[in-house]
Amino acid sequence: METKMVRTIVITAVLSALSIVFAVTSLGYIPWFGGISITIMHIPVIVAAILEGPIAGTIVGLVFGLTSLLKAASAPTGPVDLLFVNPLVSVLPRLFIGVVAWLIFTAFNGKIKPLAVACSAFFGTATNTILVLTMLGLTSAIRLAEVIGINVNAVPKTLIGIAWANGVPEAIGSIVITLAVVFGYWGITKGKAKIAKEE
Amino acid sequence: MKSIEFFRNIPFGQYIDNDTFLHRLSPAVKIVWVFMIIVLITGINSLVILLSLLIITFSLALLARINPNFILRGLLPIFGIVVFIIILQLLFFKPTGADIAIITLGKLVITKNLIVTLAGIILRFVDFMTVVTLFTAITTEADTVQGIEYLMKPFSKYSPWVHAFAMTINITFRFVPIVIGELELIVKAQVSRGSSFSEKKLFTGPIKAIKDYLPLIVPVIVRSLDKAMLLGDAMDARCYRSQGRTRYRALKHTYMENILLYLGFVLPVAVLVVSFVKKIA
Repeated sequence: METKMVRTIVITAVLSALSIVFAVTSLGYIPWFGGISITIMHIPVIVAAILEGPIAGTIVGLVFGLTSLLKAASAPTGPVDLLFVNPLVSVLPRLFIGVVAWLIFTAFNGKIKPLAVACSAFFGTATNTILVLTMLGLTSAIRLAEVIGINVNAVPKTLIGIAWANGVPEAIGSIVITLAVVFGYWGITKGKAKIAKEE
Repeated sequence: MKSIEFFRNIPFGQYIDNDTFLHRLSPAVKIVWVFMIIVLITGINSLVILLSLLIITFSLALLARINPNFILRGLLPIFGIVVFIIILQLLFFKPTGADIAIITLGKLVITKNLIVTLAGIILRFVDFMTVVTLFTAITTEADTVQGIEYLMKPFSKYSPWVHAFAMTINITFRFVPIVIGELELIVKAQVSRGSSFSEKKLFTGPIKAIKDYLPLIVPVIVRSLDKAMLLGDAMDARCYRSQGRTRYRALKHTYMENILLYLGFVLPVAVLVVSFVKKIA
């Protein structure tokens, strides 16, 4: 492909479309212990950031945030989803996933590419988990306490618990999937992958 | 893959083709108004304003000749959750000192604060769904893209990315069915190889679910990226450039639409400021 901009446009668009499909078919959310599903929705964001830079990552992150907002409003799966009907919780934190993932990727990008991709995936996921839970605590601690049925003072402890229970599996899943996808894609562009000759 | 039929079962996201003033209104105006109403919903605690927003949206829906039942149907899936929240609130709500008890049923005390909190949560929810459903019912996808481009016009002098952004959104909408097709293909391929991808994720257990997911997610993303490269080659072959493009039907605002556009920026800010000042005073 000749122009960088065309490539950025199509890749960003396709990863955004993937985010929408994952959200709509609820493939992006895997039921997990404790009632709060773990998500793989941030993976397209990290892939976009690694392949096409921070702007692409931010746009896909925006799509992720908007789908999460609409999903929480239209088909909530639990009482906590109600609190995601707030752009400050569902959209704003997701804009930073791409930026962080790209920064980490460029910082580590040397001879060992798998390490750079893995670190990028890890820190991208951590950004999502930490920022979303922080915003949740900041904007609606009282409502969160009411909805789960705990004391307001116990909210920070509960949030840290959620961060460990959901963040760790999310990070592992994200590293595995991102590595596979990014190297699969680099295979396509070099013409080494089987998939490129299929059609 | 029953869940793929999701789009057809809910009214949310469906366009209803009527020829009314609201359908013909510039999409830029509609986007600004929807965005500002969402800001108001999340930023305001006053029940009166939330209720009046709901009434305004419903009267607009009537103006657009959209059956109110159509919007109400979109609210059905959240009904169970609302009941659940009401029960939780009843059980765990602690009445504070300056609170008026209205009904007392044994241990259950329903107070004024409790009712206000509940009404706030539910109204906010219903408001949000109504506004979004109404917007998608009166605006097509192509119109939405054109509206976004129009709103970002002031910035296009400085950056070629403005058109590129609108183009990205356009391709995103077009690519959703293609990605769903890829997904169905991969699911069938993996099932034919003996994978047991099931709909009942909750009952098979989380570990099993993740094992089922990996051979599904990775090929779908890689194949979609492959499709993206094909599209990119096609665009390059047709000499696509994002700068200096024109439209066959350019979006032009009438005097009235311009006024509505600026009102959409000014009114919600005014309401937010007034309510903030009231809170302090």
